[in-house]
Amino acid sequence: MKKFLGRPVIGFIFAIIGIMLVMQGQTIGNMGGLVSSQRADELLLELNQLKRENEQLSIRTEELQEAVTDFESLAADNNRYIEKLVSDVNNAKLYSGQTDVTGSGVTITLDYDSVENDGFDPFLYNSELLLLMVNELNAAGAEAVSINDERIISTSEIRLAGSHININGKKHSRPFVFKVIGDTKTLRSAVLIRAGIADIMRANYISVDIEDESELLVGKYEGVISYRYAKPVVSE
Amino acid sequence: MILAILGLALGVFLGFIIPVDLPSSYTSYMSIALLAALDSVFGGVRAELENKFDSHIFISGFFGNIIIATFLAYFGDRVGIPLYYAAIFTFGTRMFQNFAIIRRIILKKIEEKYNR
Repeated sequence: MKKFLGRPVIGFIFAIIGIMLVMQGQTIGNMGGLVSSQRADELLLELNQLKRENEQLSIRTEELQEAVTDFESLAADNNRYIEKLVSDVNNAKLYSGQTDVTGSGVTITLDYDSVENDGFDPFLYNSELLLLMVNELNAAGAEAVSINDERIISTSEIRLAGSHININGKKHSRPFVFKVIGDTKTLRSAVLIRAGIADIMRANYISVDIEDESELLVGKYEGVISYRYAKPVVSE
Repeated sequence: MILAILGLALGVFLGFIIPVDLPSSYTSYMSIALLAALDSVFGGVRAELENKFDSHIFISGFFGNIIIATFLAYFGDRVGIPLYYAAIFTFGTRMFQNFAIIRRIILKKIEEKYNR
C-alpha cells in the first residue's frame, strides 16, 4: 500500500479529484439541486399535457373569433346602418387591442447580461419595473404596446408568479421585448430621459436596448374578453 | 494513505475557494471526467494490491482517461452519437470489477492473517 498511497503524485491526483467533486456538486446545486429522472419524467408529462391544453384553448379561441366574424359579415350584407355599426365595432376593436396594428414605433429589449451563469434574475425582484415601463410608454402616447407579443390591454396584468412573470395569464421570462407603436421621438425620450425608467432599470442590473422601427407589427390580444360582473348602464 | 486524504481535503478546499462556476451545459462532461478519475484510482489500488503498480502507467492513465472520456462525450454530442453512455458503461463496469477484485484480495489477506 505504501508504494501506491505514499507518493506526492498521489496527493496531487487526489487534490484534482477533490476539486472536480466540489465543482460538480456546486454546479448541480446551482442547477436547482438533484432532480431524479423520475421527477423529470413527471414534469415532462405535465408540460406536455399543459401544452396540449394550451393548443386546444387556442383553437377554441380561433373558432369563436371566426364565428364572430361570420355573424358580422352576415349582418353587414345589405344594410347601411349595420355597415356603420360594423365600422364602429372595428374601431372599438382597434382601441381595445383586438386587432393586429402596424405603424412606426420602437422596440425595447430588456434583459440581464449575466457575467457568469449566476442564476440571478433581476426581473424576479423588480417585476414592477415592467409595469412602470408600460406606464411611461402610455404617458408618452403609445397607441399599442405588446410585451413578448402579449398585447397590453385594459385588463392585462403584469405580475410575478413563482419564477415567471405572468402577462395576460401566460408565463414569460427574460428577455422582455416591448413593441410600441407611437411617435418614435417622444417614446425614445420618455424612456431615455435622465433619471427616467431606463436609468432605474440599469440601476437594477437590467440592460435596456431601444431601437426605432419604421414599420412595426403589434399583434392582437389573443384571449377572450368576457365580463362577468360589469354590465353597461343603458342611458335613456 | 495520509497523503491521499490530505490531497483530497486540499482539493475540496480549493474547489470551494476557486470561484470557477461550470456552465450547466458542461455538467455531463465533468461527470464523465470524474467517473474516469475515480476509475483510474480504483484501478491503481487494485494494481497495488496485485503488486503490479507502476506510477507512470497510473498517472498517464489518469489524465489520458479523463481527456479521452471528456473528448469522446463532447464529440459524441457534436455528431449525435451518445458516446457518453459508452464511457459510463465502461468505467462503471470496470469500477465494480476492480472493487470486487480489491475486496477478494483484502479478504484473502485478512484470512491469512487470522489463520496464522
